[in-house]
Amino acid sequence: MIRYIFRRILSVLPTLIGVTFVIFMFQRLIPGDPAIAMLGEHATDESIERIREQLGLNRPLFLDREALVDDDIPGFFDSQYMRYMERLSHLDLGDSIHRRIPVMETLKLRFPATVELSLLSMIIAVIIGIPVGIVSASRRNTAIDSISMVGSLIGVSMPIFWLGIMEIMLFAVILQWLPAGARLSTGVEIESITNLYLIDSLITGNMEGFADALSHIIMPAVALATIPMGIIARMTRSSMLDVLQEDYIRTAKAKGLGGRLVLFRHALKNAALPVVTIIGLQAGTLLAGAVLTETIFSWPGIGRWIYDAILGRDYPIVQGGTLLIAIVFIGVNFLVDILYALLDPRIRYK
Amino acid sequence: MTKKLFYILIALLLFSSLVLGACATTPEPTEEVVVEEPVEEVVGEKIPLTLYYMPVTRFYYPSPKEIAEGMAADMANAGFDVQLELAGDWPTYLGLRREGNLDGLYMLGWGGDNGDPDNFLNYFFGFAGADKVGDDPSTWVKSPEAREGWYANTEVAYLLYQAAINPDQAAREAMYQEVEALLHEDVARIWVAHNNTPLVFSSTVSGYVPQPVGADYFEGVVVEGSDTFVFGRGGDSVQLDPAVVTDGESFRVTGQVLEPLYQYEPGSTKPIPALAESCTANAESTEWVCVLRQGVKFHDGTDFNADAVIFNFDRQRYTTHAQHYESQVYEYYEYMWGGFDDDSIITAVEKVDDFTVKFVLAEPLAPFLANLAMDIFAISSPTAMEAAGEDYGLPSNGAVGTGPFKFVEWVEGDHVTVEANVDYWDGAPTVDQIVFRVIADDSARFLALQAGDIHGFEQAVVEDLVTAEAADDLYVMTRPALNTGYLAFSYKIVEFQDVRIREALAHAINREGLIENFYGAYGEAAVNFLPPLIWGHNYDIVDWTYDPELSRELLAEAGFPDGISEVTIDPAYGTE
Repeated sequence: MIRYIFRRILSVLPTLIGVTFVIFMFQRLIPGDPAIAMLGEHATDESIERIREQLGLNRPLFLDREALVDDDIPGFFDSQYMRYMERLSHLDLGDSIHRRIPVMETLKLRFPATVELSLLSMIIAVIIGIPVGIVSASRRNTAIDSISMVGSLIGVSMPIFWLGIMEIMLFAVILQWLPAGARLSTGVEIESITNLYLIDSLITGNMEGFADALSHIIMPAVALATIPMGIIARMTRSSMLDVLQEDYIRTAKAKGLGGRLVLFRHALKNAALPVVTIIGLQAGTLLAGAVLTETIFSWPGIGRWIYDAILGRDYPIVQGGTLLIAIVFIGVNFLVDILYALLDPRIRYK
Repeated sequence: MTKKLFYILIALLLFSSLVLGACATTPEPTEEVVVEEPVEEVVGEKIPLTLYYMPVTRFYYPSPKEIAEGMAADMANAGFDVQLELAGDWPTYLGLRREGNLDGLYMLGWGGDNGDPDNFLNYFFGFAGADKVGDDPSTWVKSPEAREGWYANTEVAYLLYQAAINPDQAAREAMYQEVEALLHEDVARIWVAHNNTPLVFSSTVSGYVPQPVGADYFEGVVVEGSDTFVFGRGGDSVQLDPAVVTDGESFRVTGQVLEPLYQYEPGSTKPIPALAESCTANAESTEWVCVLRQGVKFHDGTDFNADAVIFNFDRQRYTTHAQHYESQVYEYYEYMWGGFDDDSIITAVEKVDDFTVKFVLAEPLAPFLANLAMDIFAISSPTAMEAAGEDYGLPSNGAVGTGPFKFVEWVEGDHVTVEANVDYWDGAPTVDQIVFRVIADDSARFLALQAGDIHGFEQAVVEDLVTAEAADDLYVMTRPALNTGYLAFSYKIVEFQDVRIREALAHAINREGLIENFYGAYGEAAVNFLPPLIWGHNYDIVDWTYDPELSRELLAEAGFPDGISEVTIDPAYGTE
């Protein structure tokens, strides 16, 4: 097991290098560059050229063949990609081109916002989705089953932006119970420790801050939870149905065990594998940032930030952000693999 | 995964990066392109008649795709079978336009920077640096620019040159009117619309002054039942050092914290004194002496005086200045004053005494005061700039000026807060605090206003404006239009080189109909490039009538009795 973990961690490195390479190349294949994005309609040729020069965008992308002709070996490697990799080796993600703020600094603020939102929605999705799936499976083909499966289908196919707007309309505009967006009300302050506001406010005993942060996060979390909730419910149901038809379940029932005991002790654990996989994949997707939810609720997470950076050709942000997303995906998948071994004693990693 | 597979993967990755690296060319166009091009070149290549529409909403085109569809329908009516095309996202679109590769008709627009006609016209129609060959401007020839759809008009360029150096206001006005007449006669572009940008406020708010140019005035804002004014906006500020940014959302904030020597009169484009009490020119208009306001202090306690003014201008001008950083782009200095170091039109900013400075110019520059009043040339505290170094204007430091509001905090992507400067030389503002909140989604911004989270915002969609106008607790205010949305021709297209075809298109588009459908009460059909708000607007020009019949006649006259669906690329162009 330990060897397996070690090997997995080692294999992450080439994957990440591959990610940097692909992102780096594809970004620069899109026409339009930061200089043009920065200057808009008013750009003049002189200023575009000067900005390109200043930002090093006039250097070759990967390797400088012209320098090789002149036997200039350091010059050969002095390319945009190599400069980027050199900085990356010191864990320096570079500065935003438009804002000049170090990417790492912004990530420290924005990634926790995304983590907080996606974890809460994942908790909502799991807490509701799994029981709904179990109930549907155990009461197969009853009214409860039909209602919850139609409900989860609606959840899966609900356009998030529409749901978000409806939530705001109802709870913020008409009922005025909740704020329409942002992470905190103006004037409310929370001492930042982890930058997860719910947790920070609890640690510092700032109950007013906790209530305010909670009132802000609840609507986006619910909006974001609908799709994974539906998927988890459906997956739990079908996986449970498969397991419930197994011989050992019939044996357990024949032994005279209670229905609840069979359901939770014998069936659920064995039905959990595909559900865990789905939860892992969904969690990865949510952590990569939910552009629509973040946009509608003005949530300062990484989704909208990276989206804007792509439109603005802010290369360092796109590079840093995607690298982080890759790490998150790899990490979540890794956790899921470990969970497999814990859930299913037959799985052993060597 | 076995170990072997793993090593093979790494080897493959390294190999492919080497191969790709060797194949990747530098982003600069190399001679290779020139060698290949003539081989592939087809003489007089035929392409479908295309209208490129903008991928983003801009104030001059509130819903570009729908407007493009409307124009295409009008054109079809007059015999132009035009295809709509989305060229890519905004930077892609601008990039293609810059390279002169939007082959057909394309939508774009302009928003004024300082209310001077030169700022509108010169970028498009003036002489480029390379055109200025020899000492006699009357012999200069305007070369077609890729960026401008390969259009060139030397007569217009020469007039613009003369107007820019003429200190006589009346003479300048006449020249700009002549330029407008020439452009109209030539149908250089089809001017489509000027849009008065709507702002929506809660009825508890009063005293907001939207500016056609420069930052809006917030100091007179009163919010019933609140000491804080929360303003919603679509995007965050880029940086709060106005010298190094070009976006309106940055200026909206810096305009409250910092002040230039001159500013624009509330609600107009007229430059009036701000930190300077007066600026007067010598007879040749090559020297401007500015008398500064006394007793003014920056928010950090530093005295405002001649040294501060000189520091701010020198810092932008000299690339060797300690506060002029490699990482920063002083876009507007170059654009408004002709260049850096020795290329700058301002050749010296001299201290006459503690409260008098003299600007020495290399040549007369008629829009001097209008330039001076731009947010970019607002004066920051030299002490604060030196202390913050390269980080001046970033969220960690904000900006330090003399304005009615002081910088408090900036949470990137979320909000900027400024508070009232009670010692402001022109009297403390009425509201204690302003919070500029980012709400990127148009609908969400309107809902936030309805929910009471914000007190006002800019950029509402047409449907929400209807709701806002009907609501008792909301009202709509407009920013006077200092913008023009237009339709440009690529002169690379042989057919568009014929003025009759350009005119036929101008008569084909029902601009009043477009305004009614997509701009509502806020837009007006454009007759000139210069909006009526700017002096130099030529009221004598008779607009192209909407007349599809006339369009068809003009088309037939030009040799296309059956209309046009295909156009020809002129082989003389496109070999950049």
